[in-house]
Amino acid sequence: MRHEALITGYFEGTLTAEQQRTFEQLIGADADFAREVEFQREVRQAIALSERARLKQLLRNREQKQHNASPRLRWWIGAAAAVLLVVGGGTWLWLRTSSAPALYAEYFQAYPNTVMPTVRGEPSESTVQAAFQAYDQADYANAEKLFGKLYRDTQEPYSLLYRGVSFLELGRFADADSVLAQYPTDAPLYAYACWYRALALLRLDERKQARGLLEELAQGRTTLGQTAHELLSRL
Amino acid sequence: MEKDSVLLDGLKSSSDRAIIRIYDAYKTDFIRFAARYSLASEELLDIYQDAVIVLWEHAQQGRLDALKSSVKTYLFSVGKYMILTRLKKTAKQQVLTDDIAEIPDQLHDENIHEERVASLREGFQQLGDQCRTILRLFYYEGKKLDEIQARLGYTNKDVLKSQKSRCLKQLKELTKGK
Repeated sequence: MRHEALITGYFEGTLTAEQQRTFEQLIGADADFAREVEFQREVRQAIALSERARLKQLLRNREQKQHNASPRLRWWIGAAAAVLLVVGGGTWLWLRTSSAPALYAEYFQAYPNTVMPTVRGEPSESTVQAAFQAYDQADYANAEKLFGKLYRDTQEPYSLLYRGVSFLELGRFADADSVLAQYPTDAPLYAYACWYRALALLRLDERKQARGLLEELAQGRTTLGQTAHELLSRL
Repeated sequence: MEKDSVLLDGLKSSSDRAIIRIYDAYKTDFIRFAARYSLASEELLDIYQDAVIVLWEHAQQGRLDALKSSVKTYLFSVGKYMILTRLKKTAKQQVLTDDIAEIPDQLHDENIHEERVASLREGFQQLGDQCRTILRLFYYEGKKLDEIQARLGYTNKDVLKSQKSRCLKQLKELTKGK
């Protein structure tokens, strides 16, 4: 790679004033150089999002663990279970015998925000920021509306995916299905749209359709493909 | 301040145990401190988690090296800022935020193509451990190549450089056509 030292210095923050000038000149004059810098900036963004999501999960798990260890909470779980057994015994039996909702509950996990890191404190000036802020704050009713608007305004496929997942979170499975069905097959993240649509269909007890999508996914060699394969074997 | 320097050293070692230690150390105090704001306790916990992550990122990037206040004060001012902006946003309460420094997100960049970032994120997960470590240290933790060389035990900086280039190339290949 040409000018590798300059790019490294840029990311390390160690460019001298003169190097900084050369760097800026190259950005304007050399398209390959500009593309490479852009690529590495995207890499930085992608890694930051992955790491933040991982750390957030780590801390959430920590919290969960502490909660589970707290006797007060255990008491609540016991009480909730008792109420469930007495009042919702029928529902509970139904959940146990009909495995689709149970499987759904086991496999569903909201897709992480991989598009826009929302840092609290930044005002949401655009629909896209507002939508992801709502999504990150689990305000799915708002997120669903904002992603709907975003899709009408921009036709960005990812807005369909996030709107679909918001619908799932809201328990609106038929809406999730119809939104995710619109996801273009050639867009990135299509596999995820498939996966969430399969879960929506599963929850609607449309097993045949869900199975079709999962089979399509299971052919891929991604981690998602493996999960799809596993779920298929349990259907 | 001895305790602080121990915590900071732990944070800089970037181990998961270190971040959990910080998380546990100040949680109760933070929740007590934040109880005066009208937010649900789940929301406060959520904010506290984000504040700890910001603290952790800043520690990695060496931004706490010249810290004048204690770690706790720093963490609480990050958290307080997040609470106030959340309150302001939900318009539940009108609060003045003049006394609090802005915490801009350096990594946020409007020009970045969002879908490419999403596929890069997927690609990153598919890389081998060594590549992920090198790229994470360099791009996320802001470590210089010299520091990475020392930490990962490369005898030659050029070997590390070409390894890093290979990792980037692999990432490009993985996300090609997406």
